[in-house]
Amino acid sequence: MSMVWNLVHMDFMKFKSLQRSQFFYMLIIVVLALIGPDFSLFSVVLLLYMMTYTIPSYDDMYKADYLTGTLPASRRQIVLSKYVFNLFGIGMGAMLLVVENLLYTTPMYGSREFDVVPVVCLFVLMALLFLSISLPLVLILGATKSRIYILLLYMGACAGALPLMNSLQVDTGILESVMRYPVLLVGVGLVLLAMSYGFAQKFYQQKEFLD
Amino acid sequence: MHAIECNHVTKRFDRFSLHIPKLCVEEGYVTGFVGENGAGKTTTIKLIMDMIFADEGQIRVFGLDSHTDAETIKQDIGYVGEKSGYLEIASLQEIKKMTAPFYKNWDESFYRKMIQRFSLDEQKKYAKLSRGMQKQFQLSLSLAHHPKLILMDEPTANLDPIVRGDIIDLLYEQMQQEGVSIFFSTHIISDLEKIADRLVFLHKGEILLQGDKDDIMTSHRIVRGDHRLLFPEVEKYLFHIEKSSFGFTAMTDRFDAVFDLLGKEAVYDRPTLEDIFVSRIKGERK
Repeated sequence: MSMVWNLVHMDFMKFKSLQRSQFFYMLIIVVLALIGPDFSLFSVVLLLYMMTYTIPSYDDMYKADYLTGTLPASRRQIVLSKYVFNLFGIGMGAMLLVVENLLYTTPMYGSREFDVVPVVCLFVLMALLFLSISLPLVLILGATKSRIYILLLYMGACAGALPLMNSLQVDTGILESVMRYPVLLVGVGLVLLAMSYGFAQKFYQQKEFLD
Repeated sequence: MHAIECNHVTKRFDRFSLHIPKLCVEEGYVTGFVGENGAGKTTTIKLIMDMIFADEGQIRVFGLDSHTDAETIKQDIGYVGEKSGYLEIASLQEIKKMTAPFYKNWDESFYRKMIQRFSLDEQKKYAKLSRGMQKQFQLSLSLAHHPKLILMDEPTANLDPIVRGDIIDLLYEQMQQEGVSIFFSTHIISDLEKIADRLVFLHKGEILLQGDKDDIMTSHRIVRGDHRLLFPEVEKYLFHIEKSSFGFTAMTDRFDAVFDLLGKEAVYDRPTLEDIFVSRIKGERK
């Protein structure tokens, strides 16, 4: 397990080293958060994007496979560490969301009511879904090659979801009733992540560092 | 026990394939792995490091399987490649903090000595270092866990002669003091003349020649003589024969046999390793 923590620590060190590019993102996150509740989720998604994509993008640029491939860590540990690191990212995102929503309960934002559990759970579900799709792709193809596939997947999902919603005449009431079972939401997300993890492990074992 | 042992290893790509029937890297020696660009040196090293997988055959490092025991093996390997894989916008100190925890035998004082020896500023970003300093830093990190085997993939490529000399000197010291095994791939053959004990010549994915450096140097000679000396019995010991109006020049790996046949009628010169390597590639034994 210590090798997994070493790898997670390495990713946190990389995250810290990328201060200049992170500063720009952080600035956007803060601005979005301060604008108000409508942009709150965007800011958290951006944080997640930073954690999922920024490091793999730099890893691609500097051929980090040449380092990870020579470290005394197994491929299984490398995959596990990426999932653990990104779960930390979800945790940080959830905390940011809580802080933002607490901010919105102040008179400056109209003293909105805030029920923490459903908001955080919905975010966690979205984040787990996002990671479940993007992490295996990033691990297997690298950040540069996978970016286009992920973009296409999300475009496809958005394009497909609207007509589906219309044809089924689904109204937002369903969403509200689903939000009554927040633990279920997280459970669904975790099942997806577990499936994604199994898939990533299987394919990463066969990955060859050719470039 | 061999430091590295490859048995009937084959790796196929679309336009290239590597085939190594037998390759042994002796423990406690420097083995030079020589080949032109694209000969398959990096592929071989990646196979040893389990970064790619062999289609056939087996690789053992200190008696352990390079694939199933990769994690254990890598604790004892110091790798210096043409590409480091470091986050280049990180400082040297940060890169060290990222990599050091992985090694059980990490020796901080040894690392400090290396940093001082090469006058490296740890606060500097890796990308801001010269190529030579980057390589020196890479070497410092790779040696600080006292590896039993140092794997080097073109470590001296694109470096000036002074830095190349520093690296060679350090490797020589390591071998003398710690008895490490070194597997050193390069196309700069002059580097190997200084430190290699054994040599492996690779060409188009096939091993052309391997053996003790001194034996290779002793058995090979450049032979020069008149055309009339080129009778079939002599030619069978010669390769890379070049004929001109003045006579012929050729390489032999059977100096004793050629000398028995031609005696002092021919002229014999000691070749450099580069001469031998080039002749081996260009010449076909008749």
